[in-house]
Amino acid sequence: MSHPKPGGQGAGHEEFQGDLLSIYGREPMLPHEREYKFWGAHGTCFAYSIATWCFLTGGILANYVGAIQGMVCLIAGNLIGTLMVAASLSAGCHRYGLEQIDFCKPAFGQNGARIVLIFYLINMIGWSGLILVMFGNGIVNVVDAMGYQPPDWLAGAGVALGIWLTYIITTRGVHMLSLFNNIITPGLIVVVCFMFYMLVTAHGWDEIVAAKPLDPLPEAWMNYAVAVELGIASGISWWGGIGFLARNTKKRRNAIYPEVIHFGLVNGIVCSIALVSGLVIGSDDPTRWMVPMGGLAMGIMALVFVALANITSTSVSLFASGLALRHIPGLRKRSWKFIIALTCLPLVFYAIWPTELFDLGDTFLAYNGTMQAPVAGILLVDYFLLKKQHINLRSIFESAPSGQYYYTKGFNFLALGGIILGQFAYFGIYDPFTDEAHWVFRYLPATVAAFVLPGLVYWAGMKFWLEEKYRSRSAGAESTPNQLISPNI
Amino acid sequence: MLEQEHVADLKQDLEQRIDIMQNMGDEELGTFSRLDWVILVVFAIVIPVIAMELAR
Repeated sequence: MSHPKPGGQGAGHEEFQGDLLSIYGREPMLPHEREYKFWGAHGTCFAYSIATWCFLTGGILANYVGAIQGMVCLIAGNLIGTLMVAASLSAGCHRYGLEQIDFCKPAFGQNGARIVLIFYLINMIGWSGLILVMFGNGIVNVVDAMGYQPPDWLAGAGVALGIWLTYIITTRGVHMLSLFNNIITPGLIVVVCFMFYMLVTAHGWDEIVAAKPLDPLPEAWMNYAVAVELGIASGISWWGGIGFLARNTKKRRNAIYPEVIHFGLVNGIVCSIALVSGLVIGSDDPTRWMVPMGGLAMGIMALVFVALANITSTSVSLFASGLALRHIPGLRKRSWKFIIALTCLPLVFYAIWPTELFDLGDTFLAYNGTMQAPVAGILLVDYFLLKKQHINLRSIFESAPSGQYYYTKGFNFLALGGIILGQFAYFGIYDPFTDEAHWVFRYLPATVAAFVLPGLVYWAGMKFWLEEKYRSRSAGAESTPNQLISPNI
Repeated sequence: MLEQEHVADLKQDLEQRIDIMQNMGDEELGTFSRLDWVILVVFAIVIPVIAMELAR
């Protein structure tokens, strides 16, 4: 063959050399370019799963249910939610080496996937900002615990420090991220075990089990239903990082098992620490109670590792966001540092107004997260039932109307309608802002309804109506050529 | 290097990657059998649902 080997082409623009094409871009990633083997995949998933969002989720559940019900909902719910989103994304992104938004194209269409991209970026960058604010707040808590008066600007300065650390790691690539995770994962395991040990020895298992929820709803059944809902929604919220991790993993089993184990099981366990501490201490933030309970040294150690975990989680989110930004034509050829600086730009606002944005962002992202369930349901149905795990890779990178995934002017309106349907299904069953619920909510979590209903409608519509129509149109246009006409990369 | 040559190189590399990944099999990517799916569904769906019902 006269062509140069993919991933090894010659001189030219720095950004388009060798493996950089796929690692810092959207080209299908070949197995030899992927970073994660068995331990790398487990270490990264573990470090990504443990961030202050665990403590946020567990702390919220302490309002509604006691320790046993809460732990079951957090662990079981996270497992269910994670598999719901990981099954298709992990399998597809790994099999074809695809970036996550590219994987959405077979279902949503060339241009339709860009609508998913908007929500994806808002969600990923918004969550990153929230985590960095929690990182900044952690610094404030430790300074406070050490007996000093923390200045008002300290939380914002902590956010700025977090942005800088994240930028340093993310611009040095997946390998640096993997190295960083390999260093902090053992420390995190020790800290998490020690937190549980401290809580159980200080308060006793009996007290923990007997602790009453902090602020339950008047109707008893609603409390457990909300806990189930939050548990599953917490698992679903991993949607953003799953494709990125699977794409960078060498073997199939290492792509999906670590995600389910760590985002589901481990995350559920760590969330449970915040649940228990919220119930018996009244604070879900370990940087507050680890100092009085475990001493200054343990408190600072907890802060350092939880803070570092926040940085790795933010780095994964920003890396995935940077790759997603490559879908925007003007950013396809920009340097990776420029792209990451661009993803960091909105985070600067969190450094300026950490408290204000934290209060606003929490509510907004709760709503934004509800969009992930219908997208995940549609992707599952599309990849396994309609495409039978066979994607036309060329059509994903083909902008010309002859591509199989061009649909109607680049949009698959049935899939996009499914997102709206999912929103109606969700809010018809449960409104997280007012805690009003339909009686069905007792038996059916709103996230599951928002996942299943759009998936079913999309499957029926494609199977019995649109699939044949689009197939015959593609055949009529003599599409699926062996060469790309208008590559979108 | 001229912009047009960049685009040509990029397209050529992409074409090759597409051909390679489209035809890649279990040998390079590892296996994932029906048993794996059964294990995952039992571990992450069946047992959790039973646990949730028992804790209700």
